[in-house]
Amino acid sequence: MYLSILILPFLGSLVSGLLGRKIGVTGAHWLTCTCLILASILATFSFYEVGICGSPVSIYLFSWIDSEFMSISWEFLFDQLTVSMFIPVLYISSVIHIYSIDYLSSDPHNQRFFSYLSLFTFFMLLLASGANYFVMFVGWEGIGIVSYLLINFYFTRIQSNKAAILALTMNRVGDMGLSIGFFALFAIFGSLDYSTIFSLSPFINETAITIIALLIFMGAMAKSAQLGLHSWLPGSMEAPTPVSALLHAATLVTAGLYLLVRSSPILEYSSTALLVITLVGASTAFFAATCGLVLNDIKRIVAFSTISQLGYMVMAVGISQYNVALMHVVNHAFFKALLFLGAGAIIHSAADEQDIRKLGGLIPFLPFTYSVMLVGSIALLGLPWLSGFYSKDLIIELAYSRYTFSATYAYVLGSITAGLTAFYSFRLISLVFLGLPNGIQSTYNNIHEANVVVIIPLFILALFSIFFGYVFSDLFVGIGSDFFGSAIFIQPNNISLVEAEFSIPILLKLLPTILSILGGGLGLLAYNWNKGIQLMSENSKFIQKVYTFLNGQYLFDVLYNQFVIGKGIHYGYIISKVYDRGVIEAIGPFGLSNVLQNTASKIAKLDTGVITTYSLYITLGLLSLLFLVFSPVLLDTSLLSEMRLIIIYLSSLILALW
Amino acid sequence: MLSLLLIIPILGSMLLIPVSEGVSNQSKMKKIALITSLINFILSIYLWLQFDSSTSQYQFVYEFNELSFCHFNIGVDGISIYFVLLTTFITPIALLANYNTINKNLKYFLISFLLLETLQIAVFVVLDLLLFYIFFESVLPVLFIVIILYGSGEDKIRSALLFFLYTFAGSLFMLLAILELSHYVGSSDYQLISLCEINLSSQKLLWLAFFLAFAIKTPLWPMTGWLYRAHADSPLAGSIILAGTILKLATYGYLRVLIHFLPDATNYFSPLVQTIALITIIYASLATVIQQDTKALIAYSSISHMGVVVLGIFSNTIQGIEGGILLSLAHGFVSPALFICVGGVIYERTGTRIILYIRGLVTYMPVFTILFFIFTLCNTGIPLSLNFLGEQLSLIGIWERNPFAAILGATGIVLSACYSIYLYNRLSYGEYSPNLKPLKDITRREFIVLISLLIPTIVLGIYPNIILDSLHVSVSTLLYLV
Repeated sequence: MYLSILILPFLGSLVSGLLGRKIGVTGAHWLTCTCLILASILATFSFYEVGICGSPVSIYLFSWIDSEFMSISWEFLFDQLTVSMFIPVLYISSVIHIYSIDYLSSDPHNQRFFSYLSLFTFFMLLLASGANYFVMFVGWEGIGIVSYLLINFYFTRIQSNKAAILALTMNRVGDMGLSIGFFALFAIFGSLDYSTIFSLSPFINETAITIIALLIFMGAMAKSAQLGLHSWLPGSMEAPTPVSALLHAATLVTAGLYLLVRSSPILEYSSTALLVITLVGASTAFFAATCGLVLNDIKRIVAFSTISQLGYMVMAVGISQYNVALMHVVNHAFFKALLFLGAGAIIHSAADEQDIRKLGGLIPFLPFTYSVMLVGSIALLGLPWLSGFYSKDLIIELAYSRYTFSATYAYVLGSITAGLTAFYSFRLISLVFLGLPNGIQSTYNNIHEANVVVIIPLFILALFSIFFGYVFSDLFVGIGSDFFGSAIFIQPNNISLVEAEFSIPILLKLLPTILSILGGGLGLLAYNWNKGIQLMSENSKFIQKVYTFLNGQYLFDVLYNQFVIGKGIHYGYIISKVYDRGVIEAIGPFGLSNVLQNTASKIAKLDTGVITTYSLYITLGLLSLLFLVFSPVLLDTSLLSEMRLIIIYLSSLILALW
Repeated sequence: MLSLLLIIPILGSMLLIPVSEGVSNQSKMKKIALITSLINFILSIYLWLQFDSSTSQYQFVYEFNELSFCHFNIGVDGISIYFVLLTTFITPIALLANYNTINKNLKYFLISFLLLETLQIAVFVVLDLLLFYIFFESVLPVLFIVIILYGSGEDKIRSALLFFLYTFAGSLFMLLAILELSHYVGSSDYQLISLCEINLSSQKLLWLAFFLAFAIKTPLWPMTGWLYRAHADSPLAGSIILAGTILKLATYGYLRVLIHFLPDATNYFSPLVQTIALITIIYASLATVIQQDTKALIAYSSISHMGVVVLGIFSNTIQGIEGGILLSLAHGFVSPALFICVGGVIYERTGTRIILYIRGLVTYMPVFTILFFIFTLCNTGIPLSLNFLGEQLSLIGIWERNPFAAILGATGIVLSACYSIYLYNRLSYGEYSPNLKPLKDITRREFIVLISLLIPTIVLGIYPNIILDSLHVSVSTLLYLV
């Protein structure tokens, strides 16, 4: 059963991709959706067996690499962490497959699209179920490749091409870090199996552990779009919206989180790495939320919101609350997929208009979409008893209860980010649904609610966004819950759940919620009730400057284009033109042939045909000969052997340069 | 049996000689050459099945006692058998890749490739250093003629000359070293040399001479200039042989001569080798990024991959050396495949190799694009491909020797993705170029060629133990006890 969870999506992908012409569009729809739904059902069983009944499964297939003491095998591990990842991946993938049937109905490349989606699911499952770092890496790279293909789905568009290349290469930077991490892991532990590494990590030098943890984090940073390696994610919004929902919100970007949570037994023994992770996570959350404030593209707003939420998750890892991070991964997957699919429904019905300034007043046209977007938004900003409340607010509380500098930094930024999140969420709702219509009339004439194939996935995701946190929070993050068993390791010193629950002042506990409500209120106020605020702020020089800065996304892209890519290409040019085809050529082959030619022509010039010159040569030659013969007498005999060579050389040189 | 491998291609060329050149005979000649090389391939597979992987001895040894000036005996061990297999595998691929494009002087084209096969197999199987030199060099004139006669570029003569001069200049020192070595040992037989104790100071000199020859062949920085020219101007089959097997002569040379016979000097010089290899990786990768000629781009990318191979081989660990061999083989599959993609499939249809002229091929050539994409990914070293294993094992090996070398070597992971995906994306995606006429997707012949290069890459990437099992024993004899 466990392997068929993996194989079913792969089978669907293979058949619909390679035999797409034979099975047709409908065939591809039916096949991939059936495979995915079957896999989801099996995953539910596995969640029951492994997760709730607590019996992890390990499956050994065959040996992969066997070289001296290096032994890596195709081995799969289905423990609580794996099945907890299976649930969001497979459920969301299934609903997105169904949603895409309608979304892509007018596209000529349906089979290709569904093949990619299923292939992505397969690699994601492989990533979550590998029992060593190499098998995990297969899935890790696989999702990167499929992400490239999906961003490039509309392959004739230059923007898609650019975004796809950026996504792939930027992820490769993380892969490089991760690969170096593997080398270090292997050199220190002599193995890449989770079981060996995790059982040995308490006994390893802390510096070594820190280096490994930071390298692993580098990989996670690229995949999970953390500050510095984030700029591929907004670009990837060029992909069709279901792709954004599945890959760039719900699952692919959480691969980095999965890696960190999986590596908890390593991270826990390095306080330095945890410190770095906390700082990066909190900064990312804040950075992305501020950027989200000023954007106008509906998909980009949700993308930056994703980066921000990923920052929260990384922050939770940094304060050693892996189960909370995982809970937020799952919750976020549901409500963010909902937001994206809702945005997709809006874009689709509003004639592909993505600019929120050109929408507006959509409530009467799209009541259902409005409701699900609202549900998604308030779940995102963590209104009590919706799913975000059980994970996001908990992360912020837990950050306060650690009482360290980095955790307090995380608490402050996390709380502010909560307010900002609410602001941009309600800005989006205000501009898109409330107020007056701002688009052209012909668009509005044709707006209609999508058909039932779209409504069912949205409805399912809305249900999950509302209830998942309430139902499963005690299982995942409840005090004393041993759901994760040995899949997650938290050092006893780092457990702060009790502290967070019982000893924080109530005001500090409620601060994120209060800020959320304030932010949301401000968003409604500025964009809906009193637009004078906008006009006032537009006149301020300072706010204009801030706006430009935020709109440039802290100028990261400028930095990269100018200093990394520009310099790289410049160096490539210098190497290729100045060195490889310049200096080396001039010294090497060209130089050699020139020298030989010149020397030859010079020697040829000696042949003048004048008798006096020849007599000079004869005299010179005779003299040299005499000198050579009598040199032992003239020079010290001990120097003889070397000196004779030098003299021959000198005399020939003189002759040549005549 | 090993001698059969050497004789069959020669027999094939004998058969070709009496056939008169002419359009009517062309398909017959091609069939003769192809069938000969296929028979050789099947025979080498049989040889491999018979191979005993539990010993590091030379196997299938056969002696020609009739020759007196040297010890003409042949045999294979775990290190050489895969290079022999690679050669017998690549030759039919090379013949098939240029199946329809060569019309003039076809007979001599086929004969030279069959001859090249024999000569290359001979390099890998002879057990005598002098003969190794002779066969190592004998590849040059044949390839020189192939480039000059069948090449496509404008300055193919200069390229061929450079190719010849570069490699020949290095080999001169190798010849001197071989003479000195055989003078010292009294024989040039491998087994005798390996038993002989040579003091460190002479080892150093000998090592440098050998290294120069192999470094030019690899090629390592700064002797890289000949490779992209030779690739750009040689016919497709020439590029395939050059990338697939000729570069592996150097890999084999490192393993057989430098590490095996001169272990102390190898240990002494390994920081030098690492430095040069790292410079090669980064230098070649950066130069690759801006190449505009597709064949030159892939040639440069081979340089950087060979740099990783050298890092692995000189790591003095089993993982590193096995990784180096795996990456050599993987490069021998993937690089020819990419040459077939850009220099064969695209070039035959569009008549250009300049990246900027081609765009949006996926519109008319979807099947080709899939294969091209997979090979591009293999070139960047994604998991499930043999390249990934080779790269990772090489770098894991070198980490144990020098972590910084591994870190710098890993930059190739990013850079290879940059140039490979740029090439693929630029050629395949975007709007269909207005300069191009509608093109036909790949033919059955091209498909078979590409798929037969793909299958070993993927199968060995998933289950490399097929190869590794017979490498272990031979590779462990190469380790140097520090």
